Amino acid sequence: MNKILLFELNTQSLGFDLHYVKEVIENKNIQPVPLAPHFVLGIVNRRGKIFTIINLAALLGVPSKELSPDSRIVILEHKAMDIGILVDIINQTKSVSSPAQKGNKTRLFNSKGKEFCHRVLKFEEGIHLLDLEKFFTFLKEGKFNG
Amino acid sequence: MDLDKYIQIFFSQAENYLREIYHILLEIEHGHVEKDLVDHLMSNTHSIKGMARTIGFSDVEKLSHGLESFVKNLPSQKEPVSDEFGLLFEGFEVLEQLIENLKTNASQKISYQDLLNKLQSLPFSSDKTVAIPPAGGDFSPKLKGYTHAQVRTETLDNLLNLVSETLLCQNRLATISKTYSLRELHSSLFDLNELIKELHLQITLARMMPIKILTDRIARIIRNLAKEKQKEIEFIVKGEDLEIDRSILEGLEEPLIHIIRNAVDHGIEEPEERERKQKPKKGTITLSISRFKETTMIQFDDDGKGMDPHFIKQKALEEGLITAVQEKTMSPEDALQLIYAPNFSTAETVTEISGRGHGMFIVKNKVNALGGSIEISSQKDIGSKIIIRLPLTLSIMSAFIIRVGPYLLAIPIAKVIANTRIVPQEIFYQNHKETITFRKSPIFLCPLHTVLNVASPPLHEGGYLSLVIVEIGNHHMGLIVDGFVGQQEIVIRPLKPPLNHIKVFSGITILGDGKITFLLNLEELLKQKNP
Repeated sequence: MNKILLFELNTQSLGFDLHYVKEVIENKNIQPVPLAPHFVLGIVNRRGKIFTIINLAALLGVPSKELSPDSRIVILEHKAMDIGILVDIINQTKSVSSPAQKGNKTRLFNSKGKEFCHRVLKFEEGIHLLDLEKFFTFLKEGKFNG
Repeated sequence: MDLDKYIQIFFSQAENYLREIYHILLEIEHGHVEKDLVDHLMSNTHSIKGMARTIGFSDVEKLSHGLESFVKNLPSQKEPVSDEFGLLFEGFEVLEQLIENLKTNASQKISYQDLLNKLQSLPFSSDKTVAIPPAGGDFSPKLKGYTHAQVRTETLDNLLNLVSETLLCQNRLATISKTYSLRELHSSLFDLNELIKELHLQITLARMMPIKILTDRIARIIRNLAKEKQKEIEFIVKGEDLEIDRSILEGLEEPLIHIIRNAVDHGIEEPEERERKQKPKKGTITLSISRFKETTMIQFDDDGKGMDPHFIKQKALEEGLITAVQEKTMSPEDALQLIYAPNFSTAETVTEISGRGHGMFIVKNKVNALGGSIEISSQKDIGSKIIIRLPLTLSIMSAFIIRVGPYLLAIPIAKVIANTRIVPQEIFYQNHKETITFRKSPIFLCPLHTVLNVASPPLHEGGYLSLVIVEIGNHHMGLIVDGFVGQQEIVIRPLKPPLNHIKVFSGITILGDGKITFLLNLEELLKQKNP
């Protein structure tokens, strides 16, 4: 049984495996990075550690929403990278026992978004599950223009 | 003590013993057969044998036993015959492989029986006299009189990271005390800063390793390679007792060996060719290591065939790296720089004729990654010279902080020649590049705001631009910036994905006030500006 963290980007519901989450922090003090790929929002200094903040909406091709007091940064657990992702609202965690049925991927995503969403959960509405391993590999390989 | 722990100790000790052994062998080969050296050689071999026996590494035990017997009967005070002596090199190399295989759990079998037979059949090998000592002697603790402790390298890395973080924390406190004008706190923090710097120095020193470890390996490589290529080469090392930071030493291994291989393979001519050129039959490769302030300098010289700038230019033209006009106008010094181009270095025919050049692109990248620079000069038929300059340590450096648009950036102070101001009227164009005259020579400019895609810097009151002149190898470049922030000790951390793909930065750091700053990769800027 896996626990899933659910969140929203614009009005799209997404989720990923909870064991990737280290902590959730407020969205503040983000410094811009010169020459960064378009999906990098900036960096934050959190207790002397530097995290790169990813604008997930820009990466997946979901129209970005204005930042609100509900926006959060989800700091991810990874041994070689210090990554946080910006999400609009954190919803809840959910337990998923069986492999989810496949549904139609949202029209909102670009090709990258379709690649990262490996399956769609059919709860009340479609919840797109992200494959974070693919996401990490993408960041590592650095082919950001293709 | 459990066996696993024994085995770990064995591997680390064996490595030390072998390192020592190779050093002695090289020394003996250069003609100093002293009883001391032979004794030392024997005791090291004996130690490996004893430990291997305790653990039950029987192959290692048998071979080291054979080697020990051979060494024991080396005629002292007489120069050993080289063929027989060569067998010792071979023997210890096989022994090293045996140990390496055990360490990595490799299943591949190494046969050493022939070698053992050969060792035993040589005149001064008599197995009768060697008594195998009782097992385990080398593990007995001898606490008294120990001046060295073995520390795990990981522990040293952790210590260095911790002291770096402590320095950052102190920087933050200093900023706070400045903001609130807390004079007493300020003076305590000053003392603390001195202590942390001293602590950092001591840990840095603990991480230092003699470069001899690497030069001994290089000596062996030259020895084997020269034999294989039937060349005669004298290898001279100067300053091998200098110590450098362990991580720099590790990073240096591949580029140094690469350069040496190039020199032996393509630089030094065959004996007949050298005689035809009226050069000494034996070629010479010299490696000199020296330190000046915070820079370690490694210099290679060989008296081989050198590189031909005309040939390099022709090849570069064929490869489409330069235009026909450039081929005519390019200076010989600039032509040599072409060997760093990635496309150039892969052409095999080029390396055959031009001397060195194969893979210099990789060498340069590795050296740059260590924060160092590389310089090459060469004269046809006289030889080549390569100079590598490296920082003392990787993690802490003095940096000059500059401002460009909304960003703060750091430049290693070691590379800053001057900060100055110019008026736009001073700028002229040379080879289509913005250039100024500085201390009577032309220096081309690199406007950082265009590199970083930010708005042009405002002209300061009085109509001038701020300029930082930097030195990259033997090139100078003027960086146009918005302003100077000052000098600081910074702790450099590597860039992690996805930021590591931004080539113009080579590291990241947090300043005292918590602001994040990028370290400029000057080599990359130069490359972009001067392709």
